[in-house]
Amino acid sequence: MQPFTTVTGVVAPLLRDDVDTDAIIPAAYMRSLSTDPGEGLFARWRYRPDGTDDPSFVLNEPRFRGAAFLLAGRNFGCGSSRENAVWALLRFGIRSVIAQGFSDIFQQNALKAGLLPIALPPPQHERMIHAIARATLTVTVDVAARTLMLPEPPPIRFALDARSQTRLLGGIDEVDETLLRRERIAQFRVEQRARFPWLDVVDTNARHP
Amino acid sequence: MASMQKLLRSIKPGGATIAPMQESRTLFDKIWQAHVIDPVDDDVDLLAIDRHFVHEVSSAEAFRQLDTAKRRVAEPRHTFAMHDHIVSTQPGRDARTYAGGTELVTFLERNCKESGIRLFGLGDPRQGIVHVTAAENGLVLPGSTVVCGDSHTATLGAFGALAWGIGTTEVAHVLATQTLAQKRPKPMAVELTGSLPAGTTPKDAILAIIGRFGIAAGVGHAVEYRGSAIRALDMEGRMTICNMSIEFGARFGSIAPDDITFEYLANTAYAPKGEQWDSALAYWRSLRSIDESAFARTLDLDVSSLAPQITWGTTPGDVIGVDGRVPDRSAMPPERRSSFDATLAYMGLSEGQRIEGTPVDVVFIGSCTNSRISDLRAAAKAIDGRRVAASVRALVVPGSSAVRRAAENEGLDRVFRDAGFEWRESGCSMCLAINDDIVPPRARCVSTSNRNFEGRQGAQARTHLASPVTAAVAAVAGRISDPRKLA
Repeated sequence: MQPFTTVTGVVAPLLRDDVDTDAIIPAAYMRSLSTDPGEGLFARWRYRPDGTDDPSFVLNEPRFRGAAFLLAGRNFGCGSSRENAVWALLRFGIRSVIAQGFSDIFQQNALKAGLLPIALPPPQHERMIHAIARATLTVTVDVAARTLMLPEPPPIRFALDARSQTRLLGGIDEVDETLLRRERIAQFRVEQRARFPWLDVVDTNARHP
Repeated sequence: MASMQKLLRSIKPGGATIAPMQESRTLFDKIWQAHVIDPVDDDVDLLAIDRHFVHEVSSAEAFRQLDTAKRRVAEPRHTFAMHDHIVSTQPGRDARTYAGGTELVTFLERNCKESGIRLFGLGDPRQGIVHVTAAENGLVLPGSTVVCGDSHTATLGAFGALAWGIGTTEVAHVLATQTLAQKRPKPMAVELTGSLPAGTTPKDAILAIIGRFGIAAGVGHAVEYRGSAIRALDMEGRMTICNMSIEFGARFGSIAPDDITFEYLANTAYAPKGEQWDSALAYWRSLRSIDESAFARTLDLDVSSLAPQITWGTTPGDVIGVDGRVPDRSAMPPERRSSFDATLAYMGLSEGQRIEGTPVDVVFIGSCTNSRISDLRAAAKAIDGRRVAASVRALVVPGSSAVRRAAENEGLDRVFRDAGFEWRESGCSMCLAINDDIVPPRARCVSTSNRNFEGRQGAQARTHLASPVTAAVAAVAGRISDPRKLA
């Protein structure tokens, strides 16, 4: 995954609660390995039925076409576990979603694919809304410092667990990290099988139901 | 790479052996603790994964990631693959019947062949929706960890397992390591008391929970469903309850195993046999919560006076009784009012209107929520001898090929066909509309599935989630109807 150190960019507001992953990318954009998920991003809102851009949708406004941040409401990314939602945002150029909260699966998918989910408590979220209402807002996010800098101080500190932070900064694949524990995993397996031998799949030439 | 070195240093050499089981206070804790290989960060543990299920859509990119990184599948024996999401459900179908899905269907076949993973694919008698067929075949055992790249994996928590949905990068991680690093959620209890009245089903109970407590109530939590109303349910009803955990935000939903669980498993193909069964059973009987104060949160619902439930809006929490009315704008919480008008416009409904009597165009009976044999029996019973209204397209999509055969043996297919329902092959179908089973724009569909999001069943489709009984009576009445009146 692409490392995330500091990113400076425009914030596009999508101030809805409960934006679900079917809205972020409809299933129709997941049928082929060759489909660019970026094309499907918010397809039902972004395109009119004839396939042309709907100019009233925020990401179609010229000033937001190059946005690096999305500001959303509560419970962003609820619903389907489709990681295509994260890829769609990344392919469009969004590096981080700032929201009042995320669904558990979306948050994990984002962190594991290199999209930074920033959950803000209501006062800081309000501050973002006020700032964005005044003018086109450009912010800088610094993952090492865990700060979100607005044009005016003070910067907003956000929560990010140390392990995800390290992986984001280095662009590290989690599998590489886990495989460093290869021996420990093998040892665990042996112990687990001794204790729970029935957990092993035995091909019984299983009777068909 | 410097950061990689840092990670390497952070791993303590010669990690501890499995800790002697501490007295875990909840079902969730017991299973989680028994699978911790290593703690890797505050609240994050590397867990051993006992069963992994893959389907043709969310696994495709994971296999590609594996290929790119030149990695192998670590334990192919413990991964099972199913064709379900994008397959055609047309009778007599094959991989080419729905041409838009052929690429992913054949890609999964190839990946399974190359990596030695068993595939319950098209044409296999065990084919079906992942969560339905995994249960039928005894692939999920109490006390085990189970993951799948599908958010409805919590369905399988009904067996007293920890079962949860994961993303594609996590699928690749499980394939490569048979482990997963997970943030530990907080345990939460949902206590269902009373008994379900006539005309209601487990689907109505879970819809009522989501409606009452909201679609984000379970975020960050692992839910255990408890109480007399849960104990009274068979395994299929329990699966329906656990299935919709994600619809109120919880990635995990489970039910402590009991004799009903063990009886179900005893007749399945992959359950342990002989002495192994006896030793497993002794352990399974210990899998229950012993301290109610250990739950971070408890939600209660008495189901005794429950009406059949149906959704009116575009989130699964927009729920009312089928005898109720769409809410008034003034009754909505302030933060919902701005979206309320848009929701009603999308759904083609007015505030305060009675939901009963609303004309419907499509009825879908299927999905991992409600496509098992008991669901089909209940639906067939409700409409036996009646006809689907002329204006309605109604389809029944069994959850697995085994469910389809069982229904045919009982003659349920005749009941549905005689009434004018389409009798289809098994798959996910119109629940997510990634194949060609799609609700047309602005058409109104009563669906036994789990999501009514905008565009979920097709662009501009208007979805009402309900039980198989409520859906079936809507098909014959041609409008949303109270199943208690037709009884």
